[in-house]
Amino acid sequence: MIRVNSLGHRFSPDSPWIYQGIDFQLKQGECLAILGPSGSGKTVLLKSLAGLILPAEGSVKIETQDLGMLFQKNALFDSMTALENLLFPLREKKSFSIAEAKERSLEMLKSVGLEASAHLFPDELSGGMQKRLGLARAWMMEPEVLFYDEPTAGLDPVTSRSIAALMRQRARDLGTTSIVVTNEVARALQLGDSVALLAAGRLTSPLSPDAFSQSQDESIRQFIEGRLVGPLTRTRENGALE
Amino acid sequence: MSLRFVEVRKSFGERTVLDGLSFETRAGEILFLLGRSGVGKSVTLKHLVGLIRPDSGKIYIDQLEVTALNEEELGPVRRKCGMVFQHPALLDSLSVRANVGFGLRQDVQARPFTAAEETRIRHCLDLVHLGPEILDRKPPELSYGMQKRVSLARTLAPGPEILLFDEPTTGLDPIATEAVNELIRDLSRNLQVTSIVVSHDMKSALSVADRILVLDAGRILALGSPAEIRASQAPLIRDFLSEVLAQEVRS
Repeated sequence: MIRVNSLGHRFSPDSPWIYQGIDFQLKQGECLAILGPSGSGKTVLLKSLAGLILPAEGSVKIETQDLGMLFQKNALFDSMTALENLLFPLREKKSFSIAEAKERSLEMLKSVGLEASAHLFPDELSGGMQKRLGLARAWMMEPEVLFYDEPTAGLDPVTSRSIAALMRQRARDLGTTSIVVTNEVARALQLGDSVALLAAGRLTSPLSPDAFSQSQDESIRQFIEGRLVGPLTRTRENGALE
Repeated sequence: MSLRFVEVRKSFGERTVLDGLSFETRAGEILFLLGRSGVGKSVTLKHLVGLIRPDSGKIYIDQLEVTALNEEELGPVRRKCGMVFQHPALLDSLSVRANVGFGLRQDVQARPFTAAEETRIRHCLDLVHLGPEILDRKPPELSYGMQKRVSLARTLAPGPEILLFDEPTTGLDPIATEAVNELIRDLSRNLQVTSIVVSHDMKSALSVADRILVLDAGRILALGSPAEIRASQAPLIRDFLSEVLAQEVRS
């Protein structure tokens, strides 16, 4: 479904490469979880894959144009209620009657546990509720490919785990192909069919969650264990974006 | 300094957030407040500095009853409490020097810093392991981790006796998290301040806290040392612990 070849990016010809030489393939229905320290370029990579940033080199081929994205800060419409935030894409893109669109939106709100908050505006929702609303909106259009930028950042571990379980369930039900970037190791292992680490400008080869968590790669070990000393820390102090 | 909550109750509309909360910190300890989102952790912190008033109950800092003070009398109390926010919240148009100096006085652009103020600014940067070479840089030129340290240096500038951290490691990667944890330990040891850390990061709590207080439904579910919390059989605590324990096994 997704084929990435020698992908690299920098913001101008004189600036340093953020990452280079990224190659991977993803089959339909699979999920790749990309871990990495803050500033390693995870969001830039995700936007490059989603076509929101034109890569400086290499190529991204996706077998569909039906793409969706969950932004790190949710990008909800502040002037619309939770329900209106879901109705908006349906009414813009698909030809549902108002009654049908409303029914589908309410159903979706229920599935993320927000049925009692349909009439509230985003700033009346807690951070976790805003995140669930962002997810619901990304799911409304049932895209074939979904890009998630830090879908569980800032949530408590119990909520975070239940949202990740919901993400997996939906992907399985609808056959959605997904790429998730996160800096939470436990979430990457829960969500990904394969997991890779973006650090020091390179993406490690995607590994199964078990193989990733047992990897002896020094960067992966330092990241998983959260050690201050190791190859990643040196790179970060040498001026990698943070 | 020690802090004491006595039967503190607080509701917002129909929702009871704190339901008779009572606990006491020991001078110089690091106490983690842990719990699910929306359980009243930040509300507890805000009560301490009088930003939120309880519906009933009393709060003491040493022998002083904070809940009996008016807005004017709260000024000196707030100066003793350094609040460290989740995001650095620095002023992007000002240098690092002025941002840290802002903790000493707010008219940083009106006149240059005195020699004593400059010494204090450098000392506070040193406490968070930053050198004088960044004094003239502006926040956008620094990494996020460095910005968080500058923000902490600003909080330390007026010499707080209590440090209140609001989710200091939320959203940070594991390495940056460990760097922040090490800072909390260092500051507590070197300055002998009492620290309260609001968090839902069980791994950090187990490695940094002297004691952990777990809040649930407005009440204390558990209060004890990391070892005691580790041994707890309460389902919520087991839930919080599960991934930490799984990772320890993997490592």
